[in-house]
Amino acid sequence: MNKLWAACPSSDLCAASFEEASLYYYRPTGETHLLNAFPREIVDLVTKQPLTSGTIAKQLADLCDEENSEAWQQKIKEVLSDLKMLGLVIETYP
Amino acid sequence: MTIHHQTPKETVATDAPVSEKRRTLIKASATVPLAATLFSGSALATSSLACMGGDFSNMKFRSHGNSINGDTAVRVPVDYYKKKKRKDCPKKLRGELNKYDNDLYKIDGGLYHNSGRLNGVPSNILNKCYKKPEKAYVLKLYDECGTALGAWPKIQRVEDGGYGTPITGSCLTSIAVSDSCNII
Repeated sequence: MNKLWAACPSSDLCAASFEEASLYYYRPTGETHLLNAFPREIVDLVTKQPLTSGTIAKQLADLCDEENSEAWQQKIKEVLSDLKMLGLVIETYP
Repeated sequence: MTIHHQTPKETVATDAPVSEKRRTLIKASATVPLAATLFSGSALATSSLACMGGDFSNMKFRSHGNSINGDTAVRVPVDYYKKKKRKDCPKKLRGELNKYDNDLYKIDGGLYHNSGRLNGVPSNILNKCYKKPEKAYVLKLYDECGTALGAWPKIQRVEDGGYGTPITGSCLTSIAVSDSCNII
């Protein structure tokens, strides 16, 4: 069963986006997180719908004209892991 | 943001295409994804605790090699000297040339090797046996209290046996940084 990544509940967040960066106030911890465009795009993608890391990697590889290589997929997993630590994304299962 | 409480099902996104400007930003930041927490108040500044996503290469250049594009670490520009080939150094100076390291960074008036070793290179050797200096962007390092220690390699990183820790620009909300510090 493939793990999906989803956004945390919108009620937990207060977000402000600028061109290069986005700030997310995460109510459960009272912390403010700063993301640049790449992790922000990941948050935006999983906000639209839960996705596997493989799908996220493919979509971002297409967007960035990158090869969807193992290294690229690993990078996506690492960013997802960081975002999970911050509470901005959650793991879920279909 | 959307709430996902129900059993989710993966589908392919069909949203409007990302604008070219945003796409450029995403591509640029793909090199160094930054996901950091801004701490308020206290002088917590240790990047390994407060920041994620930094690319802490010790030294980068603006136009070649390890590019600073997308870099989020706090850096300072310093003069970087690279030794010429031995044959390009005047014969009378070659004998002494081996005493000095190949790559040197000028920090606070001293010439430092990657290891932090101070090289007392005479000016005639520096002028004739080293290439013209170029600007290298080296990490500015901090202690665990957020106090600036100085630039690498004069100050060495903790993992190399020194006391310095690199930080990213996003950590600066709790640190007073001097005007001489470039945030790239």
